[in-house]
Amino acid sequence: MNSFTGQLAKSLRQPEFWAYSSWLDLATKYRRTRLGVLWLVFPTLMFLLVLGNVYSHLMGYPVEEYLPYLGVGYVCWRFMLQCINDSSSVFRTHKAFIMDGRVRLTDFILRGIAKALFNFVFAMTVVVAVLVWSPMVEWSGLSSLLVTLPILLVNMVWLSFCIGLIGARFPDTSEFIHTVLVVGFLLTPILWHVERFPLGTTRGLLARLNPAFHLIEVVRAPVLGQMPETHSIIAVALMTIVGWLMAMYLYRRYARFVPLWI
Amino acid sequence: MSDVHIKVDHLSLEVPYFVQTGNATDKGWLSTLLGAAMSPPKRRFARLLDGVSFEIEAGNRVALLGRNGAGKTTLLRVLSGAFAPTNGTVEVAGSRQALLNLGLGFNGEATLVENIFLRATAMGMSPSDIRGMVGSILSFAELEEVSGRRLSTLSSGQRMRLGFAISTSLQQDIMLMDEWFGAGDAAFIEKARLRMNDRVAGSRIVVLASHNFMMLRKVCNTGLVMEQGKLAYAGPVNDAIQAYKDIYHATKKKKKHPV
Repeated sequence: MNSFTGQLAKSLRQPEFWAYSSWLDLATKYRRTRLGVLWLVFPTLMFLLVLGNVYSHLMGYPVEEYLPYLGVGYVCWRFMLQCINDSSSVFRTHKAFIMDGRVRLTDFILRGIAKALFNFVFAMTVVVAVLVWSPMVEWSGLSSLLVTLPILLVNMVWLSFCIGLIGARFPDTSEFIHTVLVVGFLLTPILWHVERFPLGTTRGLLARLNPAFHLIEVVRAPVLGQMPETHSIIAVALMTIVGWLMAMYLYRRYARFVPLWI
Repeated sequence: MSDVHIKVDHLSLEVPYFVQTGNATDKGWLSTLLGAAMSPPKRRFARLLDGVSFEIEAGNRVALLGRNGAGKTTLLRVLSGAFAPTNGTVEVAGSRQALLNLGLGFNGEATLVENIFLRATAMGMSPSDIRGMVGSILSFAELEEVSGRRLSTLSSGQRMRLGFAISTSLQQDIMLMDEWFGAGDAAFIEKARLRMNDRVAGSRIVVLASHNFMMLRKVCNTGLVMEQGKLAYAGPVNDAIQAYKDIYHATKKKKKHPV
C-alpha cells in the first residue's frame, strides 16, 4: 500500500479534481441568491461589527485592540472548525467515488480543506480591513501570516485525515466532534484573552491544555505584533510532528479498510 | 499495451457489517419502535468472496454471471481497486474504467458544462483535454441547446444521457460494467449500444455483469459464474450461461422439494 505522504504528493500534483470541485461547490451554493458570493463575507462582517463592539465593552478592552484580536481568532477558528467538521464524515460522503475505484483518499481530504480555505480567504478580507483600520496593527504583523498560515494548514492536513479515518470506522465521531466544537468556541480564548487565566493557576493550565488555543495563538499573536507564548510554539511544533507521524502510521495500517467501513 | 491483463489468485474478501439483534416481527409496535432506536448494532464479518482465482488475458470479453448477492458487484469493486483483498492477490495491468455509477459526483446547481468538467477531472483528465471534449460530449448526449442550464433542471433521462456520454468519452484498456444501463428513449438506447460496442471493441478487456443472456452472448466470449462468493464455473460464454442456468434450476428444485 502507498504511504500517506506519497498519496498526498500525488494529490497535490493533480489538483484538478479536488480544487475544481470544491470551488464549484462554493460557487454554486450561492447561485440562487441575489447577493451571490458576498454571502461568504457577510457572516464574518456581522460577527465582527456587532459581537466585536458588544464584547469589547463587556470585556473592557478598547475596541481598536479587541476587533483585530477577535477577527483573527475567529476566522482561524472557523477555518479549523470547517476542516474538522467536514473531515469527520468525509469518506462516507465520497462513498460513491470510492466505490467507483477512486481510492486516493487524500483527494477527498484536500477537497474539504480547500473548501474551508476558500471560505477562510473570503472571511479574511473583512479581517484585513479591520487590521488596516486599527491603529494598533502594523504591516509587519500582517506579513507574519505568510509563515504562520502554512503551519496552520499543515496541521489541518494530518488532523483532517486522522479524524476522517476514525470517522469512517466509528460514525459516532461526527456527533462527538459537533458537541465538542460548540463548547470549544467559548472555551478557547477567542472572545476573551488568555491573560484572564494567568499561568500557574489551575484554570490557566487547563486553558493551555487546549490545542486549538495554541494553533490560533501562533497565528494571532504575531499579527498583533506580539510574540506567542513559548508554550504555544512548542505545543504547535510537537503537534505538527506527532500528528504527521500518526497520520502516516494510521494510513499505512488502516487506509485500505476505509472502503469496507463506509 | 500488450501486457494488459487481470490476474486474480486465491482472492478472499471479508467485510464487516452490522446487524440489529432485535426481532421486530413478534413484538408489539411500541417495542418495535423502541428497538429500532435502542437495540445496539452488532458487528459481524461476512466472507463475500472466497478463494476466487482466474486470469483474463488481453482481448477477452468476460460475462460475469451469478444470482443476486452472489458477489458480482463485489468482485467488480475489487477489480476496480475499491476493495483491497483480505487474502490473495489481484493484479490489474492497464488503464481501467468502471461504469458502475452514471450519476457519480454531479452537482445539481452547476451548469452542464461545469458538470462535464467536474466529472472529467474526477476521472483524472487534464483541463486542456476536457476542453476539447465538451462539444462532442454535449452533442452525443443531444444536450447542446441546454448546456448553460443547471443540471437540476434536466430530466433524469437527460442526466443519464450526460453521465453516459462522459463516462464513455475515454477509451480505456479495461472496462468494468455492472448491468447494461437502459434508461433514456429508444433512439438514445440504440446510440448508446453502438458506442458501447465501439468501446468494447477498442478495449483490451471487458468484464460485464448482467442477466441479459442475449446481450452477453453477443458481447462476450468467456464467462465466469459466481455462486455464494465462490467461482462456480469459468469457460466459454455459452457453457457459462448453461452452468448458471443449472445452478439456478438446482436451487429452484431444492426449494420446491426440500430434502
